Amino acid sequence: MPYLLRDLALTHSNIGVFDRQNVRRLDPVLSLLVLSLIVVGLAVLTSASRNVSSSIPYYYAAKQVVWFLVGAGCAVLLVCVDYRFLVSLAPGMYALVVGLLIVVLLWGIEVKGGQRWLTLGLVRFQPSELGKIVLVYTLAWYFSVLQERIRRLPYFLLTFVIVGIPMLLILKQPNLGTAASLIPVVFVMLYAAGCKRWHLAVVILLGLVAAPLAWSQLKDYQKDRIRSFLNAEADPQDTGWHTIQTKITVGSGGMWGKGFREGTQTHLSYLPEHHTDFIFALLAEEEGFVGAVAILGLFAVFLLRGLMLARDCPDLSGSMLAVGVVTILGFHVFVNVGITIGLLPVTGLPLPFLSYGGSFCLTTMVGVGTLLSVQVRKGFFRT
Amino acid sequence: MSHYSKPRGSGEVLAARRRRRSRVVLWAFLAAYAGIVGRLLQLQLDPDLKFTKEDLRHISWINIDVPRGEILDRNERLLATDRRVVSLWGDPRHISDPYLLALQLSARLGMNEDEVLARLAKRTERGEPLKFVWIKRRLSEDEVQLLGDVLAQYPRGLLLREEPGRFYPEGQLAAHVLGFASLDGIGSEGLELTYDRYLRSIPGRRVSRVDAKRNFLASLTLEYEPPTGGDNLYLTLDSVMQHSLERELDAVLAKVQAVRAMGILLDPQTGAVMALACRPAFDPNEYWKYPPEERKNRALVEVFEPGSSFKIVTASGALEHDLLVPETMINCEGVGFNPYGHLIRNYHPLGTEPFETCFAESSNVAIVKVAAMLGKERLELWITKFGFGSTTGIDLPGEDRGIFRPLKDWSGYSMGSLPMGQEIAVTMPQLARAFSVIANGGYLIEPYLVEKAVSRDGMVTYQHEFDAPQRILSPETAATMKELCHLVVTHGTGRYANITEYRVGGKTGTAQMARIGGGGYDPGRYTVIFAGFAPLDRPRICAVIVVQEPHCDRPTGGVVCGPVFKRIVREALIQMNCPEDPVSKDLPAGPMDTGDADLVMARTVGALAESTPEELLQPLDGLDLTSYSADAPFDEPCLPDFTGRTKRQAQREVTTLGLTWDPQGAGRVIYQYPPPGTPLDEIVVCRLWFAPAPDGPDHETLRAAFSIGM
Repeated sequence: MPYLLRDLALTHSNIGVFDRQNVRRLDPVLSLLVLSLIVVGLAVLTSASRNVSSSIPYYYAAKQVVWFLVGAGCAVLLVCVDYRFLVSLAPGMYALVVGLLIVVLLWGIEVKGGQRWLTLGLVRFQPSELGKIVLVYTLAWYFSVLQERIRRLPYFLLTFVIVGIPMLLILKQPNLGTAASLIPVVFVMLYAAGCKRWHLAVVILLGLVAAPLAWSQLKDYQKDRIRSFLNAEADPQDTGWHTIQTKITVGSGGMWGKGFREGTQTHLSYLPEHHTDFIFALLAEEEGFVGAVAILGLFAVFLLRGLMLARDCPDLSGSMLAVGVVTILGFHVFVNVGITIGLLPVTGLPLPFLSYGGSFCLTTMVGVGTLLSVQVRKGFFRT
Repeated sequence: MSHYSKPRGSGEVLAARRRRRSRVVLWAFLAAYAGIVGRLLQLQLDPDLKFTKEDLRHISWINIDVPRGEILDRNERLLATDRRVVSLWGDPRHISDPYLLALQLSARLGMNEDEVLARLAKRTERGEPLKFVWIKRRLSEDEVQLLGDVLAQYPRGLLLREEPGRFYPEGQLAAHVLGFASLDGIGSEGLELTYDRYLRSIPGRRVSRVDAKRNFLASLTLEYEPPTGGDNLYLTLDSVMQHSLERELDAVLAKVQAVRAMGILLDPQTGAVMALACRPAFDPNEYWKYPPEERKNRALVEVFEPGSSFKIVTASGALEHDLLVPETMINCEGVGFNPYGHLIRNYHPLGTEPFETCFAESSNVAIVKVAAMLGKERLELWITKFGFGSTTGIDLPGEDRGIFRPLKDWSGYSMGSLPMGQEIAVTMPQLARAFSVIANGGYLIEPYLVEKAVSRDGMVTYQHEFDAPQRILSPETAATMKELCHLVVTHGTGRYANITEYRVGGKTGTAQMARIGGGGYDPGRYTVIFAGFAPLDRPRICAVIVVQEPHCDRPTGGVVCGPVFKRIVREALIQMNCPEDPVSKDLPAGPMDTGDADLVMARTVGALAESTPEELLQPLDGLDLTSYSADAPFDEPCLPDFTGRTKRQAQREVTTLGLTWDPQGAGRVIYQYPPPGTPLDEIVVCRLWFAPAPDGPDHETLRAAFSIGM
């Protein structure tokens, strides 16, 4: 609490920790972007639900609506609560997440080769997803505490310790995608927070040198994925299958696509996982280049809007939050789309707003809520 | 915002750096975006369509095979059909030791080792081994059994394939007419060739998507081409008649040791060919075992001098031009004479005889004299009119037009040779058509074999059209010619062809064969012919029998071919339920009948009056008239005697019989036309005269009145 009180003292004193009125001050552009991305995502999911034999019509879309509603509730709550209050709680949240990750390792539910799920009564969720957001909050807290001191090496290095603990736990699951998604968050936030550039450069260089070391730590299937990415034609029926099929799927969409719910590659199960990790391929196949670029455009405006907010926010913790959230979502967009269009090796990483999946949907919406919360309060810091 | 650009204190410196670095991150994001959009452009808008094309891998197709059309005779008896056969093929790339294999196969398949080796050793033009060679096609079931262990030894090198194979259930029956389809299902001879475009089936194709598990998804059909062709062919041919024709030809071939025997049976009214055969024949099921010469339909390509049978042309012409009547007396000069520089001989020495006798006895002198009366131009005209020198248009491949030189190329001998069927070569269908002209009352019909083609869904895709044929002979002349031909059978050279139950008209022909590879004639090699029709009043069969190079005592058309004609035509007429028309009824036995020209003419006129040309030309509905039982052909339903019936009774009976009734007067029936006992199928209208019993108009008066009315 002391940091919160100090910041409050610096600014207007009439702002409460919880204020419902903030919802009215939401940025219309950002809110509408989010809304349109959600609608588009649900529409694509109805198409992806074609092959599902279930009594529920539009199975994936129907289930995803529920998650979006829950996520929207979280986002509204986040807008109402002052983000600085939440940032001040970050160390506690951090401890909680690390604890949960350990619990997952011990008692988690194994799905598709990785222990990732934790069951709480009816709800199953992935603590690693929660970890992404909590890490952003933790780093925002850390940098706002450090202020100028980030330019000193020990503090700089401490950042990697903070990030390293949950990251190793996630890697142990193993969940390469999620663990990897934390790396750009750290680097971008460090950079934006104002660390010394050569510190960063040395770390990145060391990372590159250590890359062959990491290779030996990879599991066989992970190695296969990277190998098949480099040479998909070697085994087109097995390991190269995804890499080849996703390119065909996207490519066959052409300029205008095959039409909504007319996709053949995805529909005829040439491309599996087209409701989750390869949802962008479905979009590109059915709506073509035009549709794909339109959705990427929505993402771009959303992300750039977030970065502009980070740039313009006078408050360091708000700015860090914005950078962190934008980096997480941006990383997911780039990597997911990159995999889909054959620029990156296949790894399970969902596409925000479009991919089917509850935990990541909540992560996304919490991130959106954080962004909006910062946006709403940005004007209060005018001196 | 100016305070951002001028940092004041450490906080200001920090904030300024943060803003700057945020901007850098922003640009980095944009750069990443550019990369992604660029890649999308490359993938989706690639002009080479590399990735779009790869989508085609997920499309597959299946062929929809339909069998080649069937061929059926007029009673829908199956003559040719398709069935599945098993063939053996090999992939030489997977055969390690071809010598061993050749040894193994030759023992089991009865093939020559070298032949198997030669097949396996075939190479492409670039010298690479082939991936596919036929080893033996159309294996028998026994052969497949025997192959079992060899096939197991070469799981990839030696394989069986099921393919459609043409099957002719009747074996050699009508082999030359049907022709055959090659092993690859292409019509190669006969009707299989002429009507290949109807018979041949073009497989359809269904192009559909396949899912990742290679399931063929019929619901996602991209393209569908229905199979076409494979129409069934319905022939005018009658298997039973064809069978008896072939049997008789085989018999005569064996009996007289001839080289070739041919025969044709057709309906002279329509030209529908009911049987067409050429011996020796071949088995289309194993056509490759026969030399091409034997597979050729000689009945259409073999040209021969018609000999005396050709005399009908000259005779018809002379009668048509009123140059003579059958009883015109002609001096036959005894054994022969020499008006054109070569001796024209009679077979039987004749003195001065009426023309009909000369014709019956086939006097060469008489016909040459008649031709002289006709003159060169008119002789040429009549030969052409009868269709010699041009094809008949029969729907079989390779028909010859015969050899007939135009007038300007005639030699000095021509007027002595042509009338008696020399210096001209004809085909059997031409001769059959010429005799049909006489039989049907003067019309030049076109022989045909295929009645219709019906597609698999029941659509008639081809229907033979009976065009109104050209009249070349007046009905009167045709009738006179019929009587002349009848005399040939009853009293002349064609006596062996006489049928007891039916009156027959015909003409014999015996011609020396041209010397092979040179001019003149070959002594001892003859073509013997009998051509004729029956029954005389309204012929339903016109037949030509040709035997080439018989080796027997009396190689003449009458002796060799007459009996063949007799048996075949008799069987055919009985089979067709043709009402009897015995010779004895109209021609009381006795030699003097020949000379009784008045009687002949009177009957001719009567017969003509009864049937108009239109009636004569009505195509016979063969399908109704034919039956396989030859047992009870003579209990033909006849018109009952209505005398004494009341009008109501008579009407009921007449309409029950399916006739139109035409009542005259009132009361009870006193007279009827046609008379009682007339076969029902010759009647359309039944006229009844009624009178109040007992005293009505005199029957004779009525009869007279009727005759005038006609």
